[in-house]
Amino acid sequence: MGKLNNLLTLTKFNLRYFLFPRFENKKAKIKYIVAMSVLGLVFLIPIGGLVAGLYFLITATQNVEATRDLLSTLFALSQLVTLFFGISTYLQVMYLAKDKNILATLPVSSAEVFISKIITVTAMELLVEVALVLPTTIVTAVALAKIGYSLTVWYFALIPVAIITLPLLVILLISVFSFPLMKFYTFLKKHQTVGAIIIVALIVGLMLAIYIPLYTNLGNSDTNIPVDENGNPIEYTEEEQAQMQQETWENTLNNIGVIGKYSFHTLALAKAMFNESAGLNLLIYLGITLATFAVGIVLSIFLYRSTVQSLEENISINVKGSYEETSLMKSLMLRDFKTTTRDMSKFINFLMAYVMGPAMTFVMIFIMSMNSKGADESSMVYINAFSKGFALGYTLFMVGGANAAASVGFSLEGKSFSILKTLPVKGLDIFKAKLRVLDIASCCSVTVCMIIAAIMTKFNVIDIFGYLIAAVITVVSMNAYCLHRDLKNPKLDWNIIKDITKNNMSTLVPLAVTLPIAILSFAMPFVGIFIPNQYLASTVIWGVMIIAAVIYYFALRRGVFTKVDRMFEEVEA
Amino acid sequence: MALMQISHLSKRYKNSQKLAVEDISFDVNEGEVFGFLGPNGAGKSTTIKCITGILPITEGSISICGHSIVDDPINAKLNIGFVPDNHQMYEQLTAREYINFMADIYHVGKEDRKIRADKMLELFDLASVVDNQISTFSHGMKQKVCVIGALVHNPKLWILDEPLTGLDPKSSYELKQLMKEHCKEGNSVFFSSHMLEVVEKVCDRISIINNGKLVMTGDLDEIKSKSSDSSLEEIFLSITGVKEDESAFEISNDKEKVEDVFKNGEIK
Ligand SMILES: Nc1ncnc2c1ncn2[C@@H]1O[C@H](COP(=O)(O)OP(=O)(O)OP(=O)(O)O)[C@@H](O)[C@H]1O
Ligand SMILES: [Mg+2]
Repeated sequence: MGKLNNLLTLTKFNLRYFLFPRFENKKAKIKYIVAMSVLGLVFLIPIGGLVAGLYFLITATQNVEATRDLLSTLFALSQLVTLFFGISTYLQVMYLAKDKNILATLPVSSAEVFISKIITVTAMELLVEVALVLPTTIVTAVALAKIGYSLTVWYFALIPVAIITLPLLVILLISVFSFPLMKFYTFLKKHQTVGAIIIVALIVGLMLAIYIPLYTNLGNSDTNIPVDENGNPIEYTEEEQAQMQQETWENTLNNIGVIGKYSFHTLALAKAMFNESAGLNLLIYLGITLATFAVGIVLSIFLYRSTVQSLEENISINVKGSYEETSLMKSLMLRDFKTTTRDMSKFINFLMAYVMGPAMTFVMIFIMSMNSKGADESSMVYINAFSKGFALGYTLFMVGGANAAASVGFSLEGKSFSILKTLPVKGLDIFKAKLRVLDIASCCSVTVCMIIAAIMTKFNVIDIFGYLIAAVITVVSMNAYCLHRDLKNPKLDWNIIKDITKNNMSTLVPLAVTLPIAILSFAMPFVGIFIPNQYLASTVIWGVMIIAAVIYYFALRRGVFTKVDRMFEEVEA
Repeated sequence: MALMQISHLSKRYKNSQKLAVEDISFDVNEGEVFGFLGPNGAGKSTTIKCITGILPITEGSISICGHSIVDDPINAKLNIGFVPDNHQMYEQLTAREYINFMADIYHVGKEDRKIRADKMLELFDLASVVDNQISTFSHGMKQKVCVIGALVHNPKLWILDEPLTGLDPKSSYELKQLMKEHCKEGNSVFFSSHMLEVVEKVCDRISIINNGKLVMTGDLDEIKSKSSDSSLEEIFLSITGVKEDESAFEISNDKEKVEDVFKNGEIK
C-alpha cells in the first residue's frame, strides 16, 4: 500500500511538473495557446499531406488487403517518429534532470522513480501517436466507407488501444538502448574527432538506408514517354491510360505496404482491426508488446540505477594540456562549444536542433514523392515545384524558427551566467562568440538540408547555390534574433532543458517570424512554373528568395547588435 | 588611497518590492584586507554582485581603481579577481582549460599565466589533476580552481564571497596567507564572511551590514573601543539583534540610535 502511494505521489508530481505549463497570468496563457496553435498548424501540414494521399490511394485502388498493410506501415512509422523524438525526451527526463540527486536521497526505491518517470515519458510521447494515428485511422475508415467496405467494431475499439500501446513499446525499447547510448556518449567525450565522424556516418548511413530502398521503389516515377520500335510516342486509348494509372496506384499502395508486411507486430494489430482472426491477432500484438514491456522494464529498472550512478562518475579527459594563448573571440567560442558538447543534456539539445531540420526536410520531401507516384506529367510539374518550395520552407522553419539551440542560448548557461557577467568583456563580444558557434552549426545543418533537397527534387546548379545562399542568410538572421530574444529574459533556473522552452514565448515567437519567408518559399516555385526556361525560372525563384532573406537580415540581425550590451547588463544573474 | 569606492549604493531586485541593499557607502584602501560581515540575508552577496557587475545597480555608484562599474565596466572588471560563494564555474572544462580561458580573457601572456598558475597549483596540491574535468573535483578543489582563475591576472582588487566555507584547515590557512601576501604587493582583498575569528585575525578593517543597511565601518580596535562588548562576536550578535535584552552594546539595538552614532556608516 505504502509503495503504491509513493508511486502515485511521484507520478502525479512528475506529470504535473513535466507536462503542464504554468502561467503567471491570463495574458501569458492566451499568448501561449496562440503560439502553440501556430506551431500545431505547421506540423499539421505534413499530416494533412499524408491524410490526403491516403484517402486518394485507398479510394483509387479499392484494395482492402493493401490498405490493411498500409495501416500497419503507418503504425510502424508512428513508432519510428516516437523513437526519434522520444530518445531525447527520455534521456532528459530520466537521466539528465537535475533532480536526480534529490530523488536518489528520498526514501523511495529507484524502481518507483523509474516507473513514475516512464509513465511520464510515455504520456509526453502520446501526443505524437495521437497526431499520427488518429487522423490516419479515421481517414482510412472514411475512405473504406466510400468504396463500400464496412469495418467492424474491432477497428474502432482498437484505435485507442493502438494509441496507448504503440508508444509504450517504443519507450521500453529506448529504455533498454539508453544504456549503450550513454556509454556511447562517454566514448564521444573521450574521443571527440572519432566520435564526430561516427555521428556523421551514422546519420548519413541512416538516411541512405531509408532512402535508397524507397527511392528504387518509388522515387523514379516513369515520366519518360514510352515509345514504340520506331521511336514514336505510343498513343494510348483513354481506357488504356486509365488502366495504366490504376496499375501505378496499385503499385504505390503495395510498395508502401511492404514495410507494414514485415513489421510483424503492427501487422497483427492491423489484422485485428480488420477483423481477420481478430482475437488471435490482438493476442499476438499485445503479447509482443507485453513481452517487450516485461523484459524491458526488468532490464531497464536494473540498468536505470547503475546508469544514474555511473553518470555521477565523471570521466577525465586525460590529455596532457598546456598553457596556450588564444585570441579573445576564439577563447570565448571554444568555451561555448566545449561547455555545450561536454554536457550531455546540452549536447542532445544542440544535436536535435540541427538534426531536426534535415530530418524534417527529408520526411517532407519523402511524403511528397510518395504522393507524386502515379501522377501524370502535368501534375508532376506542380508536385516538383511543391517539393522544392517545401524543401526550403521546412529548412527555414526547422533550422531557423524552431531552432532549439539559439532560442535558449543564454538560458542554457544557467547559474554560470554570472561568471560571464564578471568578465571584463563586452556583452556584445560574448553574444557574438555564442552567435558564431550557432551560425557555424546552422550552416552545416542547412548544407545537409540542401544536399537532401538537391538529390530528391533534382536541383540544377542555380537551385543549389540559390537555396544555400537564401537559407544561410535567413538562418543566420534568425539565430541573431532568437539569441537576442533569449538574452532579454533568460531562464537561468532549470531542472531539465524542457523547463526553459516550456511556456516560454521566446521559443515560440521565432516560429511566427519565419512564417512569412517560409510561405514565400512555398509560393515561389509555382511562379517558376510559368517561366519556360528552367534556368531562368530558378534565377527568378532564388533571386526573390535571396532578396527576402536579405530583408530578414537587415530587419533581424543588423539591429540587435546595438541592443545587446544593454540587455546583457540588465540580466540579474 | 581608495582602491574601491562605494557611495550610496542601493539595489532592488527586479521581482521584489523591498531594497535588498540600501544606501551603502564605504571605501576599501590600497593594501588592506577588508572584511564584510553580516547575518544571513543581510545583503552581502547582493553588494558583492553589484561590485563585480553581476547585478545592475539601482542607485548610487561603485568605482574600482577610478573606473565606474557602470560607465566603464571593462576597465573596472580588469582590476577585479572574483571568487563567488557558490563556486559556479564551467564544470565541463578541465582546470587547465579554465585557467587558460580566464587568462585569455584578462590578457595574460603565456609565460605569466604559467608561472602564476603553476605556483598556486603546487600550493593547493592540484598539479596532478589539472587536466581533469572540473566536474570531477570536490567542493574544496573547485573553490581552489576558482581562486587560481581569479588571481591569474594578479588583480588590484581580489573579491571573495564566503571564501572559507568548505576548506580544510591547511587550505584555509594557505588561503589566508595568500590574502595577506596579495595585500603586501599593494593590492587589496575584500571578502564576506560569517567566521568572526578569521575576520578578527586577518582583516585590517571591517564593515557590518544588517538588513540591507550598513551598521558600522572601521578598524577593529576602533569598533571595540566604541562598544562595551569585548569580542567581535558579542558586537556582531548585539548588532544583529540576538542579545536584545542584554543591551550589551552601548547604543543598544535601536537602529535609529545606531545610525545616529555611526553616521554615514563611519565611526565618529
Ligand atoms: N534573486 C533575488 N531576487 C530577489 N531577492 C533576492 C534575490 N537574491 C537575494 N535576494 C534577497 O536579498 C536579500 C539579501 O540577500 P543576499 O544573498 O545578499 O544575503 P547574504 O548577506 O549574502 O546572506 P548569506 O550570508 O546567507 O549568503 C535577501 O533578503 C534575499 O531574500
Ligand atoms: Mg551570500
